[in-house]
Amino acid sequence: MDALAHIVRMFRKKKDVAIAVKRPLNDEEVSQLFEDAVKQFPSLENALGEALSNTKVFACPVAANAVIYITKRLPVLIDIDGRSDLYPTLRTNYTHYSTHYTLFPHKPISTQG
Amino acid sequence: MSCFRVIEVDDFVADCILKGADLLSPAITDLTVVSGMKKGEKVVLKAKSKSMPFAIGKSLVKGSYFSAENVASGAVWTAVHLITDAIQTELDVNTSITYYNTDSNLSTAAKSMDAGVESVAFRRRASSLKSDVVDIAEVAGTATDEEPEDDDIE
Repeated sequence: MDALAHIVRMFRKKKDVAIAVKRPLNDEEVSQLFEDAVKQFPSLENALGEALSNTKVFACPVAANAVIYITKRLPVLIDIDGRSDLYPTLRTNYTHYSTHYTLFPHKPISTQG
Repeated sequence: MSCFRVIEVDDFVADCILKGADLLSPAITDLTVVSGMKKGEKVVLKAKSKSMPFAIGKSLVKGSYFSAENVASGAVWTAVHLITDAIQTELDVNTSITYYNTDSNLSTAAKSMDAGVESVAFRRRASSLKSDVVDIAEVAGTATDEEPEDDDIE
């Protein structure tokens, strides 16, 4: 639990997300970010593809070594420790929340008829 | 295809979490949801009265932690990103959150945040509409025909 203690109340205050530098990512970095994110969240592949393609992506270092990836002023991904421990923002979740549900196909109840 | 584990909590628990608390073990009423959970797994929280999640975070314990002995003790989840945190309020202000339904009594913080976000979006839409009207008026040559109102003369 101690190792995870730093993430508690991480982005609580305005100064925690104060952006001093916005570094634009080149195409290779964006594709690498996309691969890393899809590896961790395969269900959000379409959402992340939509969010990260055909737009400029900026890496914004904020407090506590965290990096927020922003497109068009919309935060898409959060890297909480700068080591590719990515989290999608709630907006990314909202727009594609249906991907959270898993359908369990049931066996046929009766083979007759 | 893996997806997030979604834990559903009561509304008053959601209130506490939005104010900065961790999720404690007794708040989890459905133990089937946490079966097989790994320590450090990314978990999404959802209030019972809402259809959308309000927080994303990390689990602090394994699924096997939840037993009759441990069920009444300890934090089991900690937040990384909440709907009321600065990422949502400071960085994501140019569009309103329409997905998160604020009708029921979940949290005053969430309500005020949504209201603020919506008002910002409304003001921006209004200002853009106003600029469009001015442009149209300038093109049509009707901008100088209007008499100034008393409030404008100072």
